[in-house]
Amino acid sequence: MSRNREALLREIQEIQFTTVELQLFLDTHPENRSALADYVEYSNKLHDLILQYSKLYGPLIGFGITSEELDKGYRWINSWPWEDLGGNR
Amino acid sequence: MSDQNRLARAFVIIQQYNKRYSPEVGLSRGTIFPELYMPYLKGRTKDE
Amino acid sequence: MWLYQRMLQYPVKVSGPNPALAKNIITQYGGPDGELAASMRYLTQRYTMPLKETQGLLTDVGTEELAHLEIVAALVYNLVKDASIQQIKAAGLDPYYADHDRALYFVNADGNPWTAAYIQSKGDPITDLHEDMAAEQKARSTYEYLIDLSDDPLVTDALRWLREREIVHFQRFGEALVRTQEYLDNKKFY
Repeated sequence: MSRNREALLREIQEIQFTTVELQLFLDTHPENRSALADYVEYSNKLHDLILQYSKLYGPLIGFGITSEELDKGYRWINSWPWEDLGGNR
Repeated sequence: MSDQNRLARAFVIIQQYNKRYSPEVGLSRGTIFPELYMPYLKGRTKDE
Repeated sequence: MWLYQRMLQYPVKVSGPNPALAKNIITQYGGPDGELAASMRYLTQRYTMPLKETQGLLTDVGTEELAHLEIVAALVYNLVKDASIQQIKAAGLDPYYADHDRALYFVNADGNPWTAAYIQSKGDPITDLHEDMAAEQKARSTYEYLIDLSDDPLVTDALRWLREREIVHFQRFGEALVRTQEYLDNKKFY
């Protein structure tokens, strides 16, 4: 995986992790308006980043693909998240 | 009424919405909430 | 239904083949306090929770545990995929190899297969939430023992991260317990 791709993926993982944390927080604090506002803000950012990634490297989410994601010579067979983690010395 | 003083009942303090780590720090620590960040210090075992 | 994302929830790496470490870590794949048990427990208990927000919490945590299951699988897979037969024998992973080659299977560190007896779904929301809180503590302890056993700093980093999630989940289940207790109290008295 290229450096740029890895960096963008890392950013998605960071923003998505914040939304996961806020989602769990909201499950037990559903009335908390400031947590909800932050959740919406990070969710918007997450959607933008995922679209940016998909356009460059193919869809990140299974089930459904937009025409925007389909260009750039997208191949159906992609790499999988458990590959390239090291191990072969 | 949330009754903290009743016998035979578990109680956990409800977290307030205070400080958060940035998304970068949050992901690397495993939580965005500083008050929930409780790292394990290796070396607690007898032979280390 | 669920949507699949082609990424790990937390990026992990391994330093090299290490079947001995894989043999221990696999307990968080298919052991009594592992991620499969956690996910199945929460996703099956959610239907009988009286509060909608607790049904949501069990759905969300149960879903996150599937992401953790994938992280544990990625660790085990990468720790054994390039291990030689000699290394596998030396690590004592040869009985596992006899049944599964280098494939992933749901067993604990001793090789016992996963069983639904690891989890409970009692129907009493107070009882179930106590089980969930205990499950988070048991998983936290297991990750600490695995950190003690780990000789690969990259794997230790992943274990440390997974352990921290158990603490956050414990807090959320505790809050859900308090809310559910309040709800049941009010139901009784009004």
